[in-house]
Amino acid sequence: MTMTLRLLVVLAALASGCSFEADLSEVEITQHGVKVPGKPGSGTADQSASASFAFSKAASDLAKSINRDVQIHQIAIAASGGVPNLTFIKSMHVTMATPSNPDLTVELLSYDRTQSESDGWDIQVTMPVPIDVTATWVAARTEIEIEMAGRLPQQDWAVDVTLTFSGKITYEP
Amino acid sequence: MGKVQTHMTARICIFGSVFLTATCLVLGVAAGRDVSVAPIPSDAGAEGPARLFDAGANSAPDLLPVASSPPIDAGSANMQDAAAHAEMRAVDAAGSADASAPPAESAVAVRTDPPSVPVAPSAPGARRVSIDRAFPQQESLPVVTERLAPVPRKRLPLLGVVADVGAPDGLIASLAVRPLKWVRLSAGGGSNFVSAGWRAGVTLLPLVDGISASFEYGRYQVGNANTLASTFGADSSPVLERVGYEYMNMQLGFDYAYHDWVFFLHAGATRLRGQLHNLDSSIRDATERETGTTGTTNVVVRQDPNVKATAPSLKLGLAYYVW
Repeated sequence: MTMTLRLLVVLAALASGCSFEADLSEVEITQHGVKVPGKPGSGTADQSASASFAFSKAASDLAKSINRDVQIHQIAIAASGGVPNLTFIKSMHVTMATPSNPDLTVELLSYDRTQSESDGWDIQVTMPVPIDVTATWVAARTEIEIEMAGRLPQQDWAVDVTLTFSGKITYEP
Repeated sequence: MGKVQTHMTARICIFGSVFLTATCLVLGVAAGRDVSVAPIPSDAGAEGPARLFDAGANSAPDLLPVASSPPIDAGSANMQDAAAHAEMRAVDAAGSADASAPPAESAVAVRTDPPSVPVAPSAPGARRVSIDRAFPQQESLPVVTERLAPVPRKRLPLLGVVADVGAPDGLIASLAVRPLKWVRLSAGGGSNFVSAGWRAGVTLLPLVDGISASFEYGRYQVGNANTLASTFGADSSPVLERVGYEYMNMQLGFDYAYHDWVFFLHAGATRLRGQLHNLDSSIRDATERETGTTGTTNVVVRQDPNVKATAPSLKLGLAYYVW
């Protein structure tokens, strides 16, 4: 968040001594180039791999300011390097966690590719019911962990992970 | 013991009478009337109370009998003398009392039957005087003069102009209408130094002057606030390129009136609503400034966030009623 925006929020809230609330109904935060290590010798058998990341602070400052009713609506994972698509992934689990408190770990996605989705290049799942991740989101550090299984590439590859969510920024001194 | 009780009863009666009389006098004075009782001597035994009172110049003389009694012999010369005497006294008293009064104020004494004695008015607008009824058994003729002082009511100015400055109102010029002395309606336009806007509201003055309560609604169009921000030394930002809001004031204050001028100071709470625009542009700018390149995390705000805030508000203004 820029200094100006921060100044606006703080002035509107603190100088007022009352309250401030911004309702962000649709925000997308994307982590580009999440690297996944290759699995040598996995030509015919299914294997699993995992990757994790934390959103870089500079850009996610605004998103991390959202401190109430943080709800994940959609997760999208797309190939961004080393592989043309993600058709080789048969299952995937995505969780949100904070290292300081494992109890706040929330499972965002448990995905199993069905026959009808065999031609899908990317994985995009819309939650039937938005998942509330407020407690985890407002922690000082939030990490996303991805576990994948399938006939994984032997070389390293990368994906872009996008979370679509909503929430509110509130200030009540 | 019985003697003491009788004594106490007598005291209570006396004090009660005095209290009632004083109360009546005070109420009469409080009602803007000059109430006095003057005996009218009777030199022929033709005595009786008559009430003299003011009436409008155009109104007919009224009859206010103090007590019911048989009518006197109108043909009695003594009675005529007594009546003329009483009338003269009454008119003189009224005339002297009304010497400085406008012509509309006149002293009038009325009677039920002739003779009616025309009296040269001693004051402009004085009217003919006659006696009401006489009570031969009384020594003097008590006359109650009741002067209804006309209260010239100045009409409250209805229309005015108002100028005020405050936050979040900005600088507003309004037209004001005062349909009731304790209500001021206003509507006008102005600027918050970013864009043009308007505001309408009502101010209630339960004491006409002094404490007030205001309820107002206003709106400012979207404007570029970067110029204003730079005035205060802040960096320009995409998020300030389109700033607009609507607001609702609920304020208590003090309105001080001096002739047709009203100075007021209002303070209270404001509920603000608006939208933040260009938020993701602002984030990108920040990312590039902080890291030197676009970071690996990208945030896109698909829909401009709605912003609501409750904030204190303050307003200082001056009203002038022109008509």
